[in-house]
Amino acid sequence: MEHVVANQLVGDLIDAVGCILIGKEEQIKLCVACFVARGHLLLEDLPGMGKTTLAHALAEACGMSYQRIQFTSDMLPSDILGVSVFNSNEATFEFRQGPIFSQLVLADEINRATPKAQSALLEAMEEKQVTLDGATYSLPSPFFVIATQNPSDQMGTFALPESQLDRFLMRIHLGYPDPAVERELINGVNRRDLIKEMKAAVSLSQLVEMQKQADLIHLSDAVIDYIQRLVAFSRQPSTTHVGLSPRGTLALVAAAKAYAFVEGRAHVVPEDVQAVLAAVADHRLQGGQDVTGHAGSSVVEKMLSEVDVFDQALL
Amino acid sequence: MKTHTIYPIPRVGLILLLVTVSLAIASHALRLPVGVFVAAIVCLVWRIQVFRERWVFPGKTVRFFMVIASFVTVFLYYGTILGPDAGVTLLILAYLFKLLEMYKERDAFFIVILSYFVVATNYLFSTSLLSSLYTFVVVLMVTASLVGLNQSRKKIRPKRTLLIAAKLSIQAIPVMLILFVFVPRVSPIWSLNVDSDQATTGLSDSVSPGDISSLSKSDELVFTAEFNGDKPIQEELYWRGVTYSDFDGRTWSRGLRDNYESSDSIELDNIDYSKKLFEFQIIMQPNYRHWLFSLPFSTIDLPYVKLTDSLVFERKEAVSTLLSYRARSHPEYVYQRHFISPTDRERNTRLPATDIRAKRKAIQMIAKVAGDHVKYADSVLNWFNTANFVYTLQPPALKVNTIDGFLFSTKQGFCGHYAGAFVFMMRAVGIPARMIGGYQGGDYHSAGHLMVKQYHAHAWTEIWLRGKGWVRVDPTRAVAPERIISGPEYVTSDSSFLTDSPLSPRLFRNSEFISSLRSRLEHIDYLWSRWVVGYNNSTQMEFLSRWINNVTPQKVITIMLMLLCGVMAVLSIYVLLQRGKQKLNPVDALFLRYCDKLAEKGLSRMQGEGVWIFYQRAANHFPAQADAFCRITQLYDDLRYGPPGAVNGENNHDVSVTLATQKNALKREIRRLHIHK
Repeated sequence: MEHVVANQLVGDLIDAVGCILIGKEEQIKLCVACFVARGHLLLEDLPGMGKTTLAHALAEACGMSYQRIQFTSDMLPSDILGVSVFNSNEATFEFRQGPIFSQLVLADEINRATPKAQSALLEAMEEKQVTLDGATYSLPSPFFVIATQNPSDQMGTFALPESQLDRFLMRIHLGYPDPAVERELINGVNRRDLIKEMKAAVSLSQLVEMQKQADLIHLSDAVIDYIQRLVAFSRQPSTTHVGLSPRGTLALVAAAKAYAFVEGRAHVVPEDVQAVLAAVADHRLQGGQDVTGHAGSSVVEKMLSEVDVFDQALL
Repeated sequence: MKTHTIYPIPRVGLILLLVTVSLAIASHALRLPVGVFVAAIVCLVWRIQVFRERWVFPGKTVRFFMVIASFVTVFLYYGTILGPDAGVTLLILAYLFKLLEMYKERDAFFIVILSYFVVATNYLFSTSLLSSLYTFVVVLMVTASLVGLNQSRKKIRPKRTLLIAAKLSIQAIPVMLILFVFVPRVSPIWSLNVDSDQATTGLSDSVSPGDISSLSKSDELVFTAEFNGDKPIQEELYWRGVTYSDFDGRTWSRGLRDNYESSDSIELDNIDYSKKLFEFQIIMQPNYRHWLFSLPFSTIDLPYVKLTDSLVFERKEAVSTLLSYRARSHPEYVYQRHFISPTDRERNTRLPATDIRAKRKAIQMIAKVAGDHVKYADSVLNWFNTANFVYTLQPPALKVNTIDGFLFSTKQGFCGHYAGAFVFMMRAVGIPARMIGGYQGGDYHSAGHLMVKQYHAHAWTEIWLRGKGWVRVDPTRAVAPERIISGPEYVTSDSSFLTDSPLSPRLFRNSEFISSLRSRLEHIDYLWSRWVVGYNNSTQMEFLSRWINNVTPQKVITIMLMLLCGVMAVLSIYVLLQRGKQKLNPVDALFLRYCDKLAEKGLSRMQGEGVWIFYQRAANHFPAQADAFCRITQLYDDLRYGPPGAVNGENNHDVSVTLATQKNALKREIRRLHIHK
């Protein structure tokens, strides 16, 4: 696939999703970048902000099979993974696939479920396979999880532990729409109806090809230096209790490459790193002050404003 | 024919080496025979042609012939193959031929090392500040070619190579200074065969006033004197150098007894002197003679120097380099007050059978004063003063009977004529007398030291009077007293004094700028001679005793080693620190300069702001320059963030060329940028 064609496809994909979720260009780009980087996405926002719409529109635009799991406190792992049922005709147990056997899984309100159910999902995300009753079942490929959680209403929820937050490549906030955008919403057609009419903007094979191309994006020494300075800054004791892990660094690199690809560049520039930094680093940098992991955003702001793209130490 | 596998010297390395060789030889340019230059050009061209693979290196027979030919030529030119001149010429020829024998890497290094040696031979001939500065430049080039030979082919860039060489040399300077100051000065156990053929100006072994029709009026420096305490006035500045005691009718010459080998050091007990004392240090320019200059009567602090019985200093070695010595002079001295040995008397009264008129005149005159020697001398001086004698630097030449001719017909002459005639008149009546050659007076520099130049050359006489010993009489003073009081330039009526030399002080005496520049240059030169070239054991002691009490060799060596270790420690710390330290990328530096330019116009890049975001801001702020900003940012982006060889180019060379082009383009864009709204 030629580079120009790939750019065209990325543009189409963003436009297609942008028709559904208007005024959220930047977040859609990040979501696409997250897909291109083969990462899972955590959408965190208040109810009714369009999280589900976004997830649904992305699934349709990529032509992926889509399943939604509503997490509740009485949920069991089998509700996610599937269950072995006794087939009395053949006198054998038969595996019934759960909702996770889908290319795109929307895990709604993930923090409402018990840790047991959460782990079932997160393990599957990491391994890309499900092991049940001694048998291993591969998940479809590509496999994406978009999880949502509601930060405000914390009564009776189980916050995701740090180790599991780490499984998500990005955490994105949607935020309130602009008044103009909201007006359009009021006047426009129901979004859910629009989704039903959507056609796939890219094929699955094209999506896989895009992922391969994003891997080839050039990452120059200058940018690596910048990334390392950012990471080193996050690890300073004065900045936060827990800095970015090496996995976090790799996630940042992958996300920056994917973002550069989405932006149509052949190489990463520091702006790409800055664009994905909040989404990638926020939920990984928990200073330990806040159970929901809200220590991150102020740290990321500091990183962006205090770590220069030129090495200040050499000036 | 046997073929050699030839070391493929890198192109830039070869150019550096050839330039170095040319520079190293150039410092010898004025001394070498022209043939050496022809040889040099042939060798350089040959080497270049070999590099271009047009010619081959000379074979064994040719090389053998070249060596034999150079030996023969040098022998024919100099009459010897030994000695500094012939030796250096041979060395330079060998050095040039080595260029045509550069088969291995080792040979190239050999040439570099030889270059250092050739450069050093320059100091056999000149120790002036200028030639030292030149030598430093050449050493820099030699070091650069050494660095160049050690660099991999791709990495050689002449400018960088020179920078590395300069860095190396600068790091060596502290070590050089310490070694210079502290290492004891040992006089060489060998002696260079520098003969007096080199002496072209200044005093000579003999003087024939009648032959000279135009005296040298050079303003070349002979020596400088720095007085501690009292400074003598002009009339006291009689710098004795040579005594001319033998006269054959034409020529006054030095007595053989004044030679170092044949003379004995005199007993200082024979000399009475009062307390009046001048102390001074003399820095003598090389004159390739054996005699030293000093005020009468002096003692000096040099080894291998004898004070002969005519009270002149005779050095074993000729003065072929700058020589510095301290002297103490007792101007009020009496030597051989009551007694003079018969041989001395005989030698100092001997006259040839010529010049009868003068002898007759002498006898008449002594008869008039009834044989009184003092009155007789006065009457001769009086005669010189009153009988229309003229002081001139361009007297008519005298053929025979030079004394008669001068005294009775031409009556024109300079110091040599008057001194010669006066000694003749004295000897004619049996008074022991001799002519003294040396310098009279000197120019006090505003920095305090006295500079004695060639045009201060003078001749005067000494006569022996019973009860008074040897007494100085200057007959020139009777004729032209201003010569003694004001200096030579005020004497002569002819305006030609010193106007021959292009930079003569007389020519530009009215231009204040030039004379002050001249005086400053002379001062720098003096300091250089005094503290660098003339830095010998005694100067070293003097210098070190300013800082150290009680200078002993152990102390000197300890301090030297400590300082050396200190310098090494500082340098190694610096090197270690530099090694770990990264440098700001030059492209980053360029971009930051562009940022500074914008900041001057009130738009600073914020901390953490990426270049493209900054570009957006800048373009909004100064829309007129948006295109230039875009080009600059794009170039920076390509250079720093883009994949190597993104623009074009497959191999490493093309990539580096592209990068360099882009970098230059960026530099140009930033330089050209003029920001306005």
